[in-house]
Amino acid sequence: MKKVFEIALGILAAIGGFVDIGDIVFNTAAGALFQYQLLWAVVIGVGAIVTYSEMCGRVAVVSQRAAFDAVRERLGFGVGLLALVAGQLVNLLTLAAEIGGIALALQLVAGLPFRVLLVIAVLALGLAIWAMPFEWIERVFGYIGLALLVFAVGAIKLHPDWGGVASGFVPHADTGDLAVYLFFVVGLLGAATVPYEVYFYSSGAIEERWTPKDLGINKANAIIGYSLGGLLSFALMITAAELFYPREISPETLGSVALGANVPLGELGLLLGLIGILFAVSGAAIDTAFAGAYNLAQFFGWEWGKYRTAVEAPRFTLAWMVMLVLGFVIVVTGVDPIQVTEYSVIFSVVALPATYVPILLVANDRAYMGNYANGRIANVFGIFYLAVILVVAVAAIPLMIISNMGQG
Amino acid sequence: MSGPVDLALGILDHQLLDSEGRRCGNVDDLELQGVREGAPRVETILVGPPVWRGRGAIGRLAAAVARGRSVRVPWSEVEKVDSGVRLKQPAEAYGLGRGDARARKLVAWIPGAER
Amino acid sequence: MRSFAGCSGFCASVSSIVFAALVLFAVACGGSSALTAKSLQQQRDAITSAAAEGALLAEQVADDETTEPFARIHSGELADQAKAAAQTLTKARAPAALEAKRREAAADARSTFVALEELHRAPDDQAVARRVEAELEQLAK
Repeated sequence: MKKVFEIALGILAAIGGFVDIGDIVFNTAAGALFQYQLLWAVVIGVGAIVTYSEMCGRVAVVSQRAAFDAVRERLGFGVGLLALVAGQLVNLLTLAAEIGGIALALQLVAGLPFRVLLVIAVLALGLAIWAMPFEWIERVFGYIGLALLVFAVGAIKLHPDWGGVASGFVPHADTGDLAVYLFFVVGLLGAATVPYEVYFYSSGAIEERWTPKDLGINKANAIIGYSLGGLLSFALMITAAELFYPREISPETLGSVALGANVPLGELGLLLGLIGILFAVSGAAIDTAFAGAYNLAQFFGWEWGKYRTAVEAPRFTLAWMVMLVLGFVIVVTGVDPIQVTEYSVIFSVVALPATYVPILLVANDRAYMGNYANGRIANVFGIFYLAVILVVAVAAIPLMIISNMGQG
Repeated sequence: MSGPVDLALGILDHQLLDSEGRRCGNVDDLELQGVREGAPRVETILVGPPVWRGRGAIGRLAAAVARGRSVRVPWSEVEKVDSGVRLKQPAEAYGLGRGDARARKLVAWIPGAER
Repeated sequence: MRSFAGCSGFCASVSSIVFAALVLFAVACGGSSALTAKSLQQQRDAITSAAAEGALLAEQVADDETTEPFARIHSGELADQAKAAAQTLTKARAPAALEAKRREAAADARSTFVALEELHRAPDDQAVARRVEAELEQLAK
C-alpha cells in the first residue's frame, strides 16, 4: 500500500513537473495557428521522452552512472567535450528563458517591474535549491505545478469541437504554409524532449538512491507521469485553438497564455493558471540549472549531487550557482524571454541526438546492465524515436530559417 | 584484479572513486606496458588536464585552456572495477580531488554549507 | 586565486555567454523598412491580433472577472504590440499601389494603441473597459 502511495506521489510530481516554458509557448502558439492539427506532434514528443526517461532511469539505477557519464564513456573525451559545450549552451539558453518566464508570471500576478522580479526570481531559486533537500524540491514544485490542470478544466469548459480534436491526433496539414507547420512540429517535439529533462531525470534517480527494487517506480513515473503531463500540453493547445484561432489572435506573451485560463474560469482560473505556470517553470529552471551542473561534474569526474553537502561537492555547487547567475545575465539584458524560449527549443532539438544516442547504446550494453538491458519493446521504441529525433534535428535549423521562426 | 576487462569501454573515461566512495576525477588516460609483447596490461592511471593532450585534437585544445596538474595512480592501487574504478586509499593520498579542495573555500562560508 | 582543474568547465560557461550574445544579436535585429504587400499584411495581422485579444481582456475587466495587475500588465503588452505596428507602418516607405492601405493600417494601429492605452491606465474601470471592448471589436474586424 505504501508502495502504491509512493508511486502515486511520484506520478503527481511528474505531471506537474512535465510542462516548462517551451511547452507553454509552443503549444499555445500551435493551437492559435493550427487549431487542433498538431496534437499528434505532442503525442510523438511525449512518447520519446517517456521512452528515454525510462531507459536512462533504468541505466542510472543499475549502473549507478548518470546520463552524462554515459556520454563521455561512450563517445570518448573529444566528442564528449563537444557534446558538453553544446549541451551547456543550450542549457543556458533554456535556463534564461525559464528565469524570464518566472519573472513574467510574477509580474502578471503582482504587477511589479520586470527587472526587480528577475532578481527576486533568481534569489528565490537559489534559496530553494540551497535550503531544500532534493526530494522536497521535486515534490513542492511538481505538486503546486498541478495547478496547471486549470487549463484542462478551462479547455473542456470552452466546448471544443471534439471531432476536430480527435482528428488532430492523425497527422495532417490543412494549411497553406507548410514550412510554418513543420517548424511547429519541430518546436513541439523539441519542447517535449528538451535534453535537460533526461540528464536531470537520470541524475535524480541516483540522488533519490533508487535501487533495482525501485525500477517499478521508475517505469510508472516515466510512463504514467509523463503521459498525463502530456495532457497538460493538449489542454494548452486546445484552449488556444478555442480562444485564439477563431479570432486570429497570435499569442505573443505569457499574458496571452494566462488569458486562456481567465476567460473560461474567471479570476480564480487566472490565479490558478498563473500559479501553475510559476511553479512548473520554476521547477523546470531548477532542473535545468542542476542538469548543467550535473553534466559538468559528470564529464570532469567531480563529486556531485544534492544528496552531498555543499562542502562535499563544492565545484558542483558553484556550477549551479554560476548557471543561475549567467541565466540571469542573459535575461536582464532586456531580450524577450518568449523569443529566447523559441531559440532555446530549436537549438535543443539540434543537440538532441548527442544526448539520446549514448543512452540507447548504454541501455543495450549487457556488460553494464546485465539482465536489465533493453528488451525488444524498449529497443523498438528507442530506435523509432531516435530516427524521428535525427530527422527533426537535421530539419530544425533549415525550417527555422525558411519559416522565419514560425512567422511565415 | 582478475578477469578480462575491455580497457576502452570498461576503464577509460570512467569515474574514479576513492576508498570512501567519493568521486575524485575520471580516468583521463592509461599507461600500458607490454603492448609490443602482445600481453598489454595497465601500469598507471593518468588524471588531469595535461593528460588530455593524448586524447585527440579536442583534447589538446582543452589541455591548453585548462589549468591543473596531472596525477599518476599506479594500477596496483585499484581495489576493484565495477560502476567506477575504486581505489584503495582516500583521494588525498594520491593528490586527487584537489580541485574540490580549492573550491571548498568558496562555498564553506555560506551558512548551511555543511548540511 | 588559482583556478581549479575544472577551469575548462567554467571556460565552457564563458564561451556560452559569447554564443548567447550572438543569439541575442540575431534576435534583436529587425527587418527593413520598405513595405511589401506581405509585410503590410503581417502588420495588419498584428493589429487585428492585438485588437481581438484586447477585446477579450476588456470583456474580462468589464465583467470584473480579472485582477488589476493582470489587466494592467497585459493591456500594456498589447498596447506595445499595437504601438510597434503603428511605428513600423508610419515610418515605412510604400509603393504607390500600397500607400492608401498603409495609411489606413497605420490609422487603425494608432486607434488600437489608444484604446489599449486607455484600458492600461484604468485597468479596473468597468465602464471604460466596456467602451474599449466595443472599440477594439470594431478594429479587430
